[in-house]
Amino acid sequence: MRWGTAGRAAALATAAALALASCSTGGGDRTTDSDKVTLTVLTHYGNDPLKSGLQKMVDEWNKNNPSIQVKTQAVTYDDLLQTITVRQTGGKAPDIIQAYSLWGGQLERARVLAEPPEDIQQDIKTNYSKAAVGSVTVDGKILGYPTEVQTYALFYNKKLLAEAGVTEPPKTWDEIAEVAAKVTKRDSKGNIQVAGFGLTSGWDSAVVHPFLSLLQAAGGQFVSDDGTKAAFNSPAGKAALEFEKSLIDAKVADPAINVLQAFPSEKVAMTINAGWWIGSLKTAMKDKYENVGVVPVPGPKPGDKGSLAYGFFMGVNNKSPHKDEAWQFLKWMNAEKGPDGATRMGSFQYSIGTIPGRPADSEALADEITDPNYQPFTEALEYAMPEPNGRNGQKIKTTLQKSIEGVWTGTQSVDEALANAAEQADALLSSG
Amino acid sequence: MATVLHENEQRSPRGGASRRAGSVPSGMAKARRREAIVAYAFLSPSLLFFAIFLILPLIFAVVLALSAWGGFDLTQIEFVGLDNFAEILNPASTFVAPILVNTLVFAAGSVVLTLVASVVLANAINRLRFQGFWRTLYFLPIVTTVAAVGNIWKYLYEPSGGLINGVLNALGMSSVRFLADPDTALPSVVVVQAWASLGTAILILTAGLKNIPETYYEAAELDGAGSWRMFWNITLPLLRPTLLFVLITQVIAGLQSFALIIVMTGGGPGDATNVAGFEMYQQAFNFGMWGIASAMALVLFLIIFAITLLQLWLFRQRGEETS
Repeated sequence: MRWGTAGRAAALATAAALALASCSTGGGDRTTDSDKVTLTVLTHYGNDPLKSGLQKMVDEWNKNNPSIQVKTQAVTYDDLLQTITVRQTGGKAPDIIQAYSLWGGQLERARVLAEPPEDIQQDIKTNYSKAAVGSVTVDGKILGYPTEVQTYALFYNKKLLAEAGVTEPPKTWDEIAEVAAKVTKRDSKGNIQVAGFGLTSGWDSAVVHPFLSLLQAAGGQFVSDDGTKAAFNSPAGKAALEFEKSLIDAKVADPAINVLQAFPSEKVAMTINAGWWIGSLKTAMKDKYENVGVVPVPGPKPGDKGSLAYGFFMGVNNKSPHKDEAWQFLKWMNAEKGPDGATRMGSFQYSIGTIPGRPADSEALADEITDPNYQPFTEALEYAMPEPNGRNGQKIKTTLQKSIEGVWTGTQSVDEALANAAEQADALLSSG
Repeated sequence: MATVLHENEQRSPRGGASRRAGSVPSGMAKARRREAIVAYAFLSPSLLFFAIFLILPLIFAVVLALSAWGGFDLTQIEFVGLDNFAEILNPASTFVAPILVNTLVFAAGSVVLTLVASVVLANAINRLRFQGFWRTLYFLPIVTTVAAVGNIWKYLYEPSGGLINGVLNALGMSSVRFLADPDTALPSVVVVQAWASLGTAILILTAGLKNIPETYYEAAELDGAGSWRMFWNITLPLLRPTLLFVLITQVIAGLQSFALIIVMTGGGPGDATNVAGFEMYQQAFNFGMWGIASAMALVLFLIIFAITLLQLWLFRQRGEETS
């Protein structure tokens, strides 16, 4: 009898738990009635100027479209994928999702995103740069509108180079090593006071993307053309990683230095980073930003150059009951021209220091883009290697990061590190 | 006692005891049943909480450990048997070495440091005035966010300009690349984990010290025992139940903890500071490999379970009551 009571109580508790759990799914912030639809947009634009820039566009849309109202929701970039995962699984999925291009494979495998209408797919294929289209394409499928495309180039501090008697930025790897040696300053204990070259550890993009830019500059590729095999364990890959290691061995680079802080403080003379950094440097360096120059990432020979492209995109959730309205809003924001002749997304991206993915936007805004430092990033849109966004893209990137760090710290040889990383990447690519 | 109370309660109202004397056994059973129902009704919020946040996730984790699932859509869970376990326990996998090895080193290192330091400090505090102040002082890291603790220690460890290297340089020594060198990165984080755990251990141990009767020390003193002898022969043996509690809770916390590692090293350089908790988090939330992450969680659970049983057994061998 006692067990029976306990059993009933347990059954009651389980039923209540399931009822509670089911209450928490579905619905979300979406409200619909016969004449009004509210769409939710989940982004990582949680801080200004990103937050206010997006909100300005949304406010304009909401004012002119009373029947389709848009609501923004923002989390930090670090929480974005987790938030998408949890909300999608829990049935509280947003109608529109902004995502990092590298996650495209994961999202596509789980059928999170709806297929864009044919006219939107054509618009993206025709009117966006090669790098932008590559960043939103998985297995030949377009996932959404590229909202932001980033490429890599070499940042250098003109003042630090001039103090060391260098008047021209380096054009080859040998020149980078030479300039770095001239610029580096150490104290009596051997601590680096000014690093000739900046390498950052502990952050996957900061470790892997500069390496891949150097790899492309040496004529290499990340993965094979058909995307089924790792291609970085090649003479070009070995040369790129040996070059980075040689800078550490020569004590002109130290991965322990936080380059994101040290470069604006003029304690690092050269480093490879993406175009978004221009906006951050302007804010951090103020007048000293005039000391910053940008050139394409050089390769082993004069004329070689390389870059990596990645981006963010906005797609429509497959579970959204308002896909048509969501695409309508995205099309207005990303494809229709605004008062300045560029799309609203293009103008917004430019205002925060990012190169728009639509070349037509760059042309429309040409008069406003006066900073010559943007030029190498815009040019790189045409030759940069798109970051592969296959189904295990993030894991492959992390695996490569660990191998590169292994070489930097001397725990692995270049050959061993690239062979291990390629073996794991091959397994992940074939299991994808 | 409960039965007596029930009988008294049944007799008291309106003098009905004699009238119902013949039906006492069935009445008692009914009362017990009612009592049980009331008890379960009161327990139901906790049971509900327990079911939602422990039992259901546990069952889900076991299901996922035997499946391949990329997240997002529960209808796409695919049964794969023991494949996930075969993958993570494969000699070529990094999960066993270095990740599990790092996890054990991290837990053991931080527990040993915490225990030794907390026993010494608790013993010292027990002899000081203003004990509350000292306990509060050592407890402060516990109420400070891990992000703040981790970042401050990162600055202290900086190769150029960090306080610790500044002191080393002033003493004529070269800088140590604490977090950048794979050989020193894990021990450096272990020190911080131990420092951050000291407060709880000291709080519990000082309470344990207060339970040791002062007369033992007085008698030992009369017999001519010194401080060390008293500590070794009185304090330590009588503190053993408290030490066991601190040891078990700290080992479990050490094996599961990865917040400091996220903040201070991100598991690097390479996999030098990667631990099981962080790897699971990466596999699930960053790589979308929930099956692998769940299999890792179950392996870690078994390790924690085995270590806890071993600790209990060892203390029992020494005659320690643990319940």
